[in-house]
Amino acid sequence: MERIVLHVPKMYADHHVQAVRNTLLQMDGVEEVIASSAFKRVIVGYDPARLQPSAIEESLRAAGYGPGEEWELPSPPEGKDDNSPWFKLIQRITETNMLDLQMSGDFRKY
Amino acid sequence: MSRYIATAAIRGANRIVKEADDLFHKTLEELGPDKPIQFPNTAYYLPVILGFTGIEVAKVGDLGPVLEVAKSLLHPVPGEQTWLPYLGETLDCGVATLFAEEAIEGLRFARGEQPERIPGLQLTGTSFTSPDAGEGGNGGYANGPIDDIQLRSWGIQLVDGRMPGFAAIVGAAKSNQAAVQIIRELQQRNILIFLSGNVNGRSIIHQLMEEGVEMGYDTYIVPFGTDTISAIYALGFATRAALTFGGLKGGQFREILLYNKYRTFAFVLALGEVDDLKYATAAGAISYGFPAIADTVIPQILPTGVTTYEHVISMPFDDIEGKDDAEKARRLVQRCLEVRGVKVKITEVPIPVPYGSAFEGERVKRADMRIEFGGKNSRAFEYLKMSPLDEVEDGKIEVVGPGFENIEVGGYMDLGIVVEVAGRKMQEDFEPVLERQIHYFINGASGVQHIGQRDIAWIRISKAATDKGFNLEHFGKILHARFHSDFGTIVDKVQVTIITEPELYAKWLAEARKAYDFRNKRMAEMTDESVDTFYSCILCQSFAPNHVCVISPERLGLCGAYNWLDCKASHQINPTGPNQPIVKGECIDPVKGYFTGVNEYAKQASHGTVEQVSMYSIMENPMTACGCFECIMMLIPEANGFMVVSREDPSMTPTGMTFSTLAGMAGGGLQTPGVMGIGKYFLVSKKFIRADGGFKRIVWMSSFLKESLAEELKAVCEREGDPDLLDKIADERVATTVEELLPFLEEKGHPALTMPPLF
Amino acid sequence: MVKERTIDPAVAEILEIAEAQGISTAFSRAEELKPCPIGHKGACCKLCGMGPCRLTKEGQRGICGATIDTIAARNLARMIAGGASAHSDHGRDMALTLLAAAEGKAPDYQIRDEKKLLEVAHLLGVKTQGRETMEIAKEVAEKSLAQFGQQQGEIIYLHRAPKKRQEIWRKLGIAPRGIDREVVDIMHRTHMGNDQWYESILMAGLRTALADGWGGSMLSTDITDILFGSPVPLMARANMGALSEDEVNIVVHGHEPVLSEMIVVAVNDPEMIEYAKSKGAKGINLSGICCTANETLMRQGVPTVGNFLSQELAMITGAIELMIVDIQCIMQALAPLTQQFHTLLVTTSPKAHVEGATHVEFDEHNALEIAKKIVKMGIDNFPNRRETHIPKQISHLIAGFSHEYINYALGGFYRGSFRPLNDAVIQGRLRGVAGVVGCNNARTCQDYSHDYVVRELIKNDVLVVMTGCGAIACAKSGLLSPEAAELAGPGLREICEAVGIPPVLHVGSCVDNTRILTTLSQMATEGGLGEDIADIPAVGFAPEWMSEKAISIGCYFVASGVYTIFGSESPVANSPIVDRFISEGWEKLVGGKLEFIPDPEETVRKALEHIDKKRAALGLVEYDPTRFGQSGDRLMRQFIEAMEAGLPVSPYSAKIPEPAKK
Repeated sequence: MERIVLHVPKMYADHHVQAVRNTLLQMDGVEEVIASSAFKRVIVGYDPARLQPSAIEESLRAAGYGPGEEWELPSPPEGKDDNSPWFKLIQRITETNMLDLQMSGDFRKY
Repeated sequence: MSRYIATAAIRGANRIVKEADDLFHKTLEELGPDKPIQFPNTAYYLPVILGFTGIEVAKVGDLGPVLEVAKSLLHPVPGEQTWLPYLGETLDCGVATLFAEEAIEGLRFARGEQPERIPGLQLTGTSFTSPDAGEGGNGGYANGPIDDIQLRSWGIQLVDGRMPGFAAIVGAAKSNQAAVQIIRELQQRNILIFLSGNVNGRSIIHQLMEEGVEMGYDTYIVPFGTDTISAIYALGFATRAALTFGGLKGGQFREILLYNKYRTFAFVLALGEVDDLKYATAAGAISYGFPAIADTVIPQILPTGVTTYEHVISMPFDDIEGKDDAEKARRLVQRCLEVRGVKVKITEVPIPVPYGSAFEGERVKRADMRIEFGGKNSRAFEYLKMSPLDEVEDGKIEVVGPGFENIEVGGYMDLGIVVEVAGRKMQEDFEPVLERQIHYFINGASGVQHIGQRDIAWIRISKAATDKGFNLEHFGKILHARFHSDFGTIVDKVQVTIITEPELYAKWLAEARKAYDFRNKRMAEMTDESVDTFYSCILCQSFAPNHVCVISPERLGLCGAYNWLDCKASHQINPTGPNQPIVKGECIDPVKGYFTGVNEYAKQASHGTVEQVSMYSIMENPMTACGCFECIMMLIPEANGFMVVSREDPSMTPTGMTFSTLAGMAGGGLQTPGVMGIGKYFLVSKKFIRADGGFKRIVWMSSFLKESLAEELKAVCEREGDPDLLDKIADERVATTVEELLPFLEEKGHPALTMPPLF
Repeated sequence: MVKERTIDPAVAEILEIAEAQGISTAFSRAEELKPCPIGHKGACCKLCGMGPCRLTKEGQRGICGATIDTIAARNLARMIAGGASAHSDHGRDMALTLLAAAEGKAPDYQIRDEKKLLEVAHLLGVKTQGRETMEIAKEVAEKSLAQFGQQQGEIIYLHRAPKKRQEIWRKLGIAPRGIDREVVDIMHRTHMGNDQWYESILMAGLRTALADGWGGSMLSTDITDILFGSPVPLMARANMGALSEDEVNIVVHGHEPVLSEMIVVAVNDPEMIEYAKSKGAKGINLSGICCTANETLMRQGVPTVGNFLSQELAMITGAIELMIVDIQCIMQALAPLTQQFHTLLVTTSPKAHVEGATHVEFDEHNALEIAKKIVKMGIDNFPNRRETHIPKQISHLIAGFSHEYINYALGGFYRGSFRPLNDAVIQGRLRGVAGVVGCNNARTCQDYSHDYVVRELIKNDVLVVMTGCGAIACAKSGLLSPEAAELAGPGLREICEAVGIPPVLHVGSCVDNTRILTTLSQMATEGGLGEDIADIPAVGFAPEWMSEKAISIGCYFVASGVYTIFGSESPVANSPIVDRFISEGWEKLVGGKLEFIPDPEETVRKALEHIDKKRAALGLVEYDPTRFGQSGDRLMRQFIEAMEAGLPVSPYSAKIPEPAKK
């Protein structure tokens, strides 16, 4: 068995780990999959007689998890922009919220 | 935050919101905007979204604005150099993550992809949400979100501190041994356990399945699903606890979050590596005041403030001291409890099996059974009596007669448990109060099942328990330890005799029956008129700050857990505790049940929100409710009567609302004439809504109540002079709308139709 | 020589050029002109035509019989009044701008921060429900303006202070009645033959200072936020490297943002940029000096070239086409420099003309047009540029910490509060908090004291907030970047890492010191640190003060309960009685005291002593840095590095193996 290590940035959460594993484990010749969403890395153990590494990459790509591919995300506006959360959402608090004090304190006195 | 965590969490949030948005548009296209979105059996829509935004998501199209809110909470990832501050931003991204996750789960329900399929998973207890559960299917599904019914039935335990909170476990433990030990440690402390997430495809749910650990509501272990997204159900549970017991409304986000920070002892335990989405979800949980603990190397966040203690703790599993994984797991759980500030008193019960309330609901199936006492083939009784101090030898546990060693596996035998207690503060009136505890105490042992009470007790011991060495003497050990720890202020000495020897058995059984009879008569004689003092119960004020229960001999607490005698005993145990005597004072109105002392007390203890309380009326100044009620009564004006729905009943009622929806109206410590939360045994009281016409006013009642209180209700009907009355009362099987109800009542000739109008 | 005058290498570089060319600067004049030894210690009375009376001998009295105590107190009170009137008049202009904008008479201004408007309206008791924004804004402006002319009662902003503090003011009779009234009161009171009891004069001085801090300055900050947005953190640059070699350099200098915000719009106008290109420049480069720089830095991220003492040197770079000034802290020395360099000096305020400068009077009704006109003058000047010496020094910083943002930063939209900050102080991660503010003073080494004090404080886990020229000083030395957390003590570093902030927070210009008051008030009401500002383990510093405004600021901090240390000889040194009264006397009455300590080391020592005293009074744990510092990314970074290096690491263990020896 040989191993390749692939960098899969799109696999950032464990439901993607499941998807990646399902994809790879269905392939003939894949013997072991260690997928880490924390380090966005997949280690695939395969039988070189039955499978080419390029095929592994290809099937990942087809499943939407191409090695090296990143999610395309819109960049949210920075704080000082007029349409940033700072100007659209966040309150201007200049006084202590008394609710905080009222709701705090000992729970289960008894 | 740390910059590493902030970067990961913000990245995760941006991505999951995008995923939610994509799934939303896909579903919109495939199923249309009007496709309903619903978590099973809840009145709180998608609870996290409801709690934060007040938006009631009922169909796919409703998610649009929610996702817009989520997007508006997103921030850019902090830079590598001269980065901008990120704590507030990360917390907001965490909340956006929660919205996205809940939206995804909602959409998955709409798409029929939830609860998640987990082949081979069997849940114990009533899991209303699993599609197969109702039809007695074979399981194979994760639990999905917890329904309102279960939430409420845990309510009183969450309120009185028996259940300190929950642990949301995400991922998989390093070994199965560690997984089981973590679960056992939490169970012993009666902490609810919510499972989700996976590491390299493997979830702790799989680990527990492999180890044969029972999961389900009954064992306090709820498997949500095998991805991190399903962890949202834990926060949904927290949000609903605040809405249900705190009397809060959707959109009161700050109150809901603070409520959880100060009142729900919950934490996130991340097992295995932590990815972007786990960080993002943990950031969302931090807004609730729930810290996160990981068993791997992650950056720590030790300063406090958003949570009460540290925010994020790393405790790399291999670096924990301990001879094996089990010991390491024990230390890990201890650290979790420290971080959340959970103070749990564990009673050391010297028996060879695990012990804790989490095992109370465990079932012992016939196939797993070593022996049973009571039930169909044999008889078991339990009897607690008070004896003079010098006649009780504390800690003496005697087994009189043969053990079960010679009975074949799966067999049965007769058993008597006699507990003698003595104490300077002990009173005869407390005997039944303490005796009822035997059920809970014995049930706490893993592998032991206890049903019933008095001489209809039914106990089973599993093979697993006897294999570990559990024998009859251990019943005594349990009772001795628990009575001392829970009732130490009134009980000084406890002596237990376990009887299997037939002659002695018969003798004690006769004596016990005499006592039961005596107690029944005494209870029957005890009326509101016969005592000078009622008791308050403000146990729930920690949850519903303005709610006050007034408990009289003829009206028990709405949670069903406290009657007048319980309160009296509780007051003895803790004189400054939640049960305070209320001197009745002058009776202003004997029919409606107004008393000067009760009014004064209610006004003061409700902080002025309640001026007057009528003990026997639902239409005028009815008693308030927290959220833990067993049943809800509500006026049906068309029928000139009331309906009673029990929390076990998920069906639609003629009011057009289910129990869950009604609960929102009845709870929160507000007086709403025509709506009232009650304990089910109040139905059989002579004082039951006496001012409004009594039991004859009941026109609709959950069949669950009819069945579970069959004997008692029959007696009530006879007392009311209409022995067939019960059959004239509709239930969910014949009527779920007023239109169906009225013809039924007409046909049966229900007395309410001819009674004076209610207003 | 130069090394003793400044610690800023850019300033030093230009100073050498100036010296070589024989150009006079504040630095060289400070050497030539020693301070008057009598006036310096508050012993000179020039209030009437019989004087000036210089009381240099023990027991000596003035012609009218005034004692040294009366004279010292009157001089100090007049400094307060001078400072308070400067800030408050600035506030008045802001309120007038808001009024003009609300009435539609200043079309170039909008309400950028509606949320802040509503918050201020709530405080001022202006109804908001169902009203148009402009209607609310108009009433807010009117109510604010009414604070100036109010004759009786007390100014509304006092309500922002903790209850206990308000009661102290009322009990002592120092709750200001109206902003202008208190300044006039001092001018009258200190007129010849009037109030001649130092205690009474100085208490009235505190009342005037309060009318500044909780009046003119505070409403100025609020209204500025309403018009131009409450600051939110942003990345910016500081020092002369911000000047551009090939663009038109326009520098805004002074204090009010009304004009500079318009200049920001004008320089970004494509038409203007095109015009600049037509003159051979690559574009237009805007930067700032002094507190105008702080205003545009906080909100727009416009870089700052330097603080007060850098103003002449910036011109000496030869790279500035146009310097626009409005009010306050503008050296008259700039005008002669325009003779030697091509720089055009444009004065804009009717209150601040400079002989030899071009005056283009600013009028908010016509703001953008005037701004464009001025920018165009600068562009037209570009072809006159000759040899330039632009120092390369540039530091990065994070600015924009409004108290509203700090509240948000500590819990996000849903849980924002000061709880984490209070918790940090309670647990001892933060030993305390300090405000380090104020000017530059040519009598001391530029920026040295700021830098020293702040470094020492953060090393001792004291979180520092800064405003004004002090903030620019520390921005230049890199203390305002989040990376500076490495210089902080272990507890403060943890807080910085948790929140992502620098150990030193830039909260704005010198009028924005009120943000510190608001922050302290919220800390006091949040709970756990007593009930009043005076209970909080906090100190105030003005290490290099020079203006009367600084004295006013110092006094309103004292009157709010803060121990405040000024870094120089006492201006009332000749009256030990007054000197003692403003420290011990005031401390007994209002909880805060004012001390003048020239030695920076001593100031830090006394500050830490004070903080520890307050901690002990609150019953907090003794400060112990060794308990903290375990959190953060360090370990994780090592772990990832080891993993990437292919070392056998396991996520289940923090024991990272040493790299194999080669």
